[in-house]
Amino acid sequence: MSDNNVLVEIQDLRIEFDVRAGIVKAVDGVSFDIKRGQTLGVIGESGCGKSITARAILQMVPKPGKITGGQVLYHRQARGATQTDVINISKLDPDGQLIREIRGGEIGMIFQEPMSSLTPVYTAGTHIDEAVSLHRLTPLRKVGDQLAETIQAHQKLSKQEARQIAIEMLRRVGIPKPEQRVDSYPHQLSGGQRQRVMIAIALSCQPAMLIADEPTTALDVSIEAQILDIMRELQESVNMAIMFITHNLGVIAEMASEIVVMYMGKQVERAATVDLFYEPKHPYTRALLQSIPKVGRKTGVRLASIEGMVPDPFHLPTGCVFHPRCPSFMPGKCDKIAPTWKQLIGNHWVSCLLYQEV
Amino acid sequence: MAKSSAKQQRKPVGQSYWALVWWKFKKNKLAIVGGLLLALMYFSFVGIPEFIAPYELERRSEYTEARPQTIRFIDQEGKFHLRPFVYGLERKVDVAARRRSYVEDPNRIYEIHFFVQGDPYKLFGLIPTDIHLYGTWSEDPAASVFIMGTDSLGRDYFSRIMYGGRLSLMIGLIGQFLTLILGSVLGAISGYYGGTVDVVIQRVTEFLAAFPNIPLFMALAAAIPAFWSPILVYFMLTVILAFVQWGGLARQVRGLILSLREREYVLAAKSFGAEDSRLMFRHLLPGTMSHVIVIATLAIPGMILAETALSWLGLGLRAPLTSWGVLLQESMTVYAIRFAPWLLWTIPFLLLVILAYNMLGDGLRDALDPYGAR
Repeated sequence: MSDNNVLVEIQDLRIEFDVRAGIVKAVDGVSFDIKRGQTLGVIGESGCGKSITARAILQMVPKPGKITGGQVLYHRQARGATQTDVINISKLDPDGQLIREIRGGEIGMIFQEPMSSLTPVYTAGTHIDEAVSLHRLTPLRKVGDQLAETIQAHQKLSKQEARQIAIEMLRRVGIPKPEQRVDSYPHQLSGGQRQRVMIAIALSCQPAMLIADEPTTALDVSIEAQILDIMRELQESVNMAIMFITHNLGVIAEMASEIVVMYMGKQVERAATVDLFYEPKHPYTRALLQSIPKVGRKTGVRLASIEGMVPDPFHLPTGCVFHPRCPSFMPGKCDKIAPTWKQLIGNHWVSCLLYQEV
Repeated sequence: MAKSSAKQQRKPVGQSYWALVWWKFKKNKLAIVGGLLLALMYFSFVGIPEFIAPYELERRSEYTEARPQTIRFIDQEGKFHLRPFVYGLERKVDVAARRRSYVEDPNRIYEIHFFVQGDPYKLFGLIPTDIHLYGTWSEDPAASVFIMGTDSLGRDYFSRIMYGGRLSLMIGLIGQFLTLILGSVLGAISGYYGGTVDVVIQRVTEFLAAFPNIPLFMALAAAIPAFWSPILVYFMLTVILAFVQWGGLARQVRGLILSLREREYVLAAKSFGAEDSRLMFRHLLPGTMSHVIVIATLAIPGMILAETALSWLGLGLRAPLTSWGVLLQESMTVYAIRFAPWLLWTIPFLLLVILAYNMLGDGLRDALDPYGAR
């Protein structure tokens, strides 16, 4: 049963960028699973390969980048069917028919910048119609009405129907007066409303999975809370998986059931959210958690930060990439031997020499 | 919650882009004048030249190379006529100079009437009628009115300018339309794909830009078979003009696409499963349109002038097709300028069209950037 529950499997994924100054290993041996209906959080500093990993799931790695190893397996389940076929996304033609069906239709994505994610010349309704017409799926109107769903699945929609769907989707993401807002251009909407429209677009085709790449970073906290609520509600109603990328630890604690921590293209720790927050194993995770400001902490005490700088990607440190900044640095070991991915207890994985016999 | 209910009551206050553009355009009086002038000229030259011209294109009179008749209100005796009139022309042969000339004969008065019957034609190609804007209303078969003189075959020059305007003005529009399509499609492909495709398209535009225009026109125009029908020649000429001129537009579109394709909305559209052609033509090209419209408007005069120059050189349109360039061919000689200067009447019309286009284009350029400082 557990195997049937896996939606996307990333196995030892490696992505390299061949730029003039050398080769950057943006993603270096990352593996994790995303399960149906659950939220996986990915955290890490800027530039640690979170977004690139997400893009690899849609076979959309930006230009000089190349997948040089590993694979992304997508367990595709036809609507209403119980059988799954495994598609190796990393082997698909990035402009091919199949990947375009998966993009948007089965795996949706929303981005960090709601301000610039909508094409300025089209209204909110046009955007939703476009996504719907690209995949020719009628979004769920009555949850559970699976039969009617499959009948509608391959119908071409009329203009009136598409508009109706757009209004319906806008209402579901909590946009006030959707009948009017459907004709608004992006510049007439606020940041929060734009991000809601983005979510509406992504959800209009009922994807099995939503990749949210820092969806609330550009929004203020009250809007952020509303957006997160909407995402959670919708996830429950359609049993959708979410890959939630952020560097906001507070947000991820609220959203995710499992968390992957990344540093310099490598995953350093993976655990259930509760375990990770209460018993962080990797020194990097610990340092990250200590750097969260807390209400009620003594004033006058400086906020903890991680020592040192993120290393130059062209000259990565030998051994463990985190060793120059690590408070638990073991000379002679950490700078010589690269740690391996090791299971500790239950579903808690870590990549650190502290937990290895060397 | 209180915040969202407050939002519900608020009407959308944002001005739409085109409302802002129109608001800014309206403030530019020169551009308005240019626009109205163009509308008027296109309506009269392209829409109803048959109505405005008193004669048919090929209607010959016995007066060859006759001077323009002056429109008068006061006759020789100093009597004021409410209705304008012209004197009849009398042919004189100057034996010493070996040429004909015409003098006005004050005894023959032809009144000019409006909405008179004349040569039959079809209005808009549909409605058969014979009403012309003005003409002489006389039983005398020699009665005629040539407000801009006649050419060497005795055809009313004003009528010919009216008909010639149709081809000259349309070639600007059609040619620019073809340029627009060719330039934006190739520019978009070049900018969007980059790499080899980009290099090839850019080298082709550079080749076209570096090649001297007139020889290129000559070579291409010479390739049009002489036995083709005039309409086909006309069509080929527009294609040739568009073919030579698309390069500049393609470069501009490419530059704009290069910057636009890095925008997040392109990535977002891609992540919803949009294919390359949809990204290029639905998401990227519309973003360049405000810029492209301005370039296109400002380039139409160039198109009209190119046609005029080619036809003047005898490489473009040929009689019996009549365009302003074809008309100007007659005024190519020193003889024409010395003895029949009225054959240069085409030029003021040409200038007016080009000025109007420039005024409109300048206004559009300022208006389409409504957030700019100017």
